[in-house]
Amino acid sequence: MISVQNISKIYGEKKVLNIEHLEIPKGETFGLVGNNGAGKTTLFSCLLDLIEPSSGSISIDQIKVNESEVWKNKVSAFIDESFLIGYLTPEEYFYFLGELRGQNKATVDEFLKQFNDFFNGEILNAKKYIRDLSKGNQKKVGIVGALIGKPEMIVLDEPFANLDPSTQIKLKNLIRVWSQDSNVTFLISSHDLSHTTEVCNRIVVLNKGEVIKDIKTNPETLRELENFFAEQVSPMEL
Amino acid sequence: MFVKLLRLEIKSFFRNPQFGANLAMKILMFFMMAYFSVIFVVLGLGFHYLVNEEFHQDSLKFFSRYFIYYWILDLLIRYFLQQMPTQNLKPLLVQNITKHKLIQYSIIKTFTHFFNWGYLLFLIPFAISLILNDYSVLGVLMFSIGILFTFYFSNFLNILLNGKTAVVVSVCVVFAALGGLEYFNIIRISEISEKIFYSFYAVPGAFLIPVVLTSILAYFVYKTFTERFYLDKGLETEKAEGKTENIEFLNKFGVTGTFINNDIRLLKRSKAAKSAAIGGIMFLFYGLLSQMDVYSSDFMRFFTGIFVTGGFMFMFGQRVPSWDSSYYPLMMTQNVPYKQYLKAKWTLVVLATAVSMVLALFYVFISWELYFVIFAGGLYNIGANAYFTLLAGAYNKQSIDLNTAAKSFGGGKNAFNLRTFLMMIPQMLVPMAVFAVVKYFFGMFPAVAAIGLLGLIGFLLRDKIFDRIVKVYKSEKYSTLKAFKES
Repeated sequence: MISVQNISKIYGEKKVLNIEHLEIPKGETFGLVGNNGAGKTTLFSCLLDLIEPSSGSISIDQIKVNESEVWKNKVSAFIDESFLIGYLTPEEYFYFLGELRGQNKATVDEFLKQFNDFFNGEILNAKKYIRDLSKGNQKKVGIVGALIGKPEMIVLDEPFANLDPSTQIKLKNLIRVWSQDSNVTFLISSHDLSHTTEVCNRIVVLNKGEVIKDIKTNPETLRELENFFAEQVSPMEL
Repeated sequence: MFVKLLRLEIKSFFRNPQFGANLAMKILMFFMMAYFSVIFVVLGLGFHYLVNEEFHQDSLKFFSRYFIYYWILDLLIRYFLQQMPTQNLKPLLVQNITKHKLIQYSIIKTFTHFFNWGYLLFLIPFAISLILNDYSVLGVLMFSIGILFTFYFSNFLNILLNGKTAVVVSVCVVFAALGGLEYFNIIRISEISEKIFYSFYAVPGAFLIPVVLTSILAYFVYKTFTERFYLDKGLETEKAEGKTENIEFLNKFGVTGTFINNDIRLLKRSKAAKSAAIGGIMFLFYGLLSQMDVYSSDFMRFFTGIFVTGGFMFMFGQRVPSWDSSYYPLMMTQNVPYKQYLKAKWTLVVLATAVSMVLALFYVFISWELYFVIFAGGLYNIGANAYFTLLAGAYNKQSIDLNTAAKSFGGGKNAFNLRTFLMMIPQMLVPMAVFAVVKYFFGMFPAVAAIGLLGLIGFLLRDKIFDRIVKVYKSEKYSTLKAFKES
């Protein structure tokens, strides 16, 4: 479904992203891990046509994202707070996204019912604008916003960060349930190795913009990843 | 300590993304500042002679008589534009600096605001011209100090009034009413004003009254500030209760309606957008200036026509897509064609212009002719300028912080760059020229009709123009995203 071809992104002298080839088939739950500056968000931004790669391209269903905008029918994303509209209430935000994805108010309301537990009673009818919500609650709004309309491909950048422990577990369950549907592809980036190995069936490790590891998740994966990142730390610092 | 804080301030000024716009822009701003400064200085120097020769009155008395109105106007403007700068203080709260220092610093900082020194450009030359014309040196000095502190008084008053819009508006309504009564010679508030402010000059020591009042007020400001110097009190921006609302009627228009609904929410809930809209309403009164000599030519009168009805367009439309800067990546990943997004903005601008044309009907009381000019300006704004404004917006890459009201003179977050400036030619000069020429040869009605025709042509070509605008927006997409992210 997604095909990355020879993509690179260079800022000045620095190559922040350099991937020769990467295929992400439909239905996969794809995890992207790496340290700060590994290029995770850059890759996602290129995928969403938010930044221009210095070379190469990314295609979704054989169509290059920078040439046609049909991919917008299938993809939704929550990268950071710049995907939130601060002056709206959460409801208005969901209706807004719903309308853009061809869903009326009633459908959105119906859809939101399943998230009552996830929202913990702090989001809907809370009489607050999104800008006044806590960071964690903003994140919840953004994640659910990305799910509205059940898009085929959902891109979440660091979805577990800023969430409380219960919500992290709820989010993991949610991703697991949704990814049972073979039509839904998840792309998730995270710093948290255990969360990622729990929900993803494939994990790619980025380091300094390059793909270092590409693993089909198995019981050994978490240990393998932990060992890898432990090796990155020089003994002096330990 | 203050020096260290000041250094931070200077950095925040120079590293403000708005500041780094471009060289041409800076030069332009410099000339504008210089221009206004010169005007103030010349006005200050010439005021005495003007009043003496034109009105045959004592200039100091004349100044004192009407100063009360200026003072109230100044307070009103301050209220809406000058805010106590506390946002930058947050990171300093837990540092090793006493609260009192921080409070003193933020109070002192208000004195650097344009509103607290700008009028000196007028006052000092005025004082000099008075001294040169045999007024008592000591008296003029006392008078100047008195006026100076009257302004400082409003500086502190403004801080205390922060958030009490009802009080400020009612005071202004009362004074507007008093002004009306004055106009019809019923009550003369100006006589009281003259007595008070002239006494600064005439009565030794009277100038100490504002000094004392200012000190008292400063003490109060200091006290309330100390009490409110907590994150959940004075330092927090007020949180309004969220209300989910929707204008159902607009939903009939599909995605365009959705976007308009959203923009209406933006205008209601964002400080920056609200102050732009209020600014746009102010433009409605621009036509009152048309009584001045400068506007006697048809060319210049049409200028007022465009301005009166174009307020919202200039204040809001000019800054598309900056209004959406804080969530531009979201917009760019949604399944919405650019065209629809732009059309929604265009519709809003056109609606606002049409409303302005109706509201401007009060100019009929001045003259029918003036209203016709304004009406023609409105037609051109709807037909042609609404697109030009959006086109100019494509090059506009300055993000807007929706939660702070637009800053005043100089520090303005105006999307004002060279390209925007060049767009003024088709926006202003062309219709002004057409109007003036047709009116000269054929008269009023054909001139209005000619402008209307220009507008109609623009209106009919709208799909073509939209396509062109979309192309520009698309080619600028990445750099716009980048610029919005960086600021």
